[in-house]
Amino acid sequence: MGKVVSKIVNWAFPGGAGHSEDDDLTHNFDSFHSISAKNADGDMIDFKEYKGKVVLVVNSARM
Amino acid sequence: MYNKYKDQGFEILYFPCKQFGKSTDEHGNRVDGQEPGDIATVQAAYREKFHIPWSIFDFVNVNGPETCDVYKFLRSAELKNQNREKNAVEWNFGKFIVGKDGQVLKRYGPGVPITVFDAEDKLKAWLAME
Repeated sequence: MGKVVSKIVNWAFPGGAGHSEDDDLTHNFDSFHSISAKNADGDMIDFKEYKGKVVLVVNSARM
Repeated sequence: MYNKYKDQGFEILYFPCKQFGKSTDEHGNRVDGQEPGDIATVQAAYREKFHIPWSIFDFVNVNGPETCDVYKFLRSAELKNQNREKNAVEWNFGKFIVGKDGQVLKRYGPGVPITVFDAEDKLKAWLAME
């Protein structure tokens, strides 16, 4: 079922972006490397560690 | 592909997300999102079942009022296929490429397999950029 929905979504939004819902995207980050986030082990990861690297960011799901 | 390029400076970051679709939890209950279970369960499944070696982060919201900082940054980048009016993540497995300088280079939809990036004009070119 999920794959079917995904195919429909891809057909509808081939460019990859959907219409926004007035989300407030205000932030003060001038670089990805200024951000930090908690990993699955609960540790805060400073994205400075990705300086000089090409990073692929994916919102994932198993189903 | 990850193994092929990781030593050249390629990283993949997975951000599990429960915002899209529905699924069934371990008790057989229908739940929101296609990433059921707690983050420990999710990480264990990625490692043990899918043998994913790259970094896995905590659950995030990629759309809506609780959009996390990472996706605020990614979605606010001005790109060929993303702008102020059109930037919501439409489904699981949306893909953003961040360059060595920390700026968003590209955005790809869920239907684009990452194997597409193994090309002269994509990953090889991005890795060659300073």
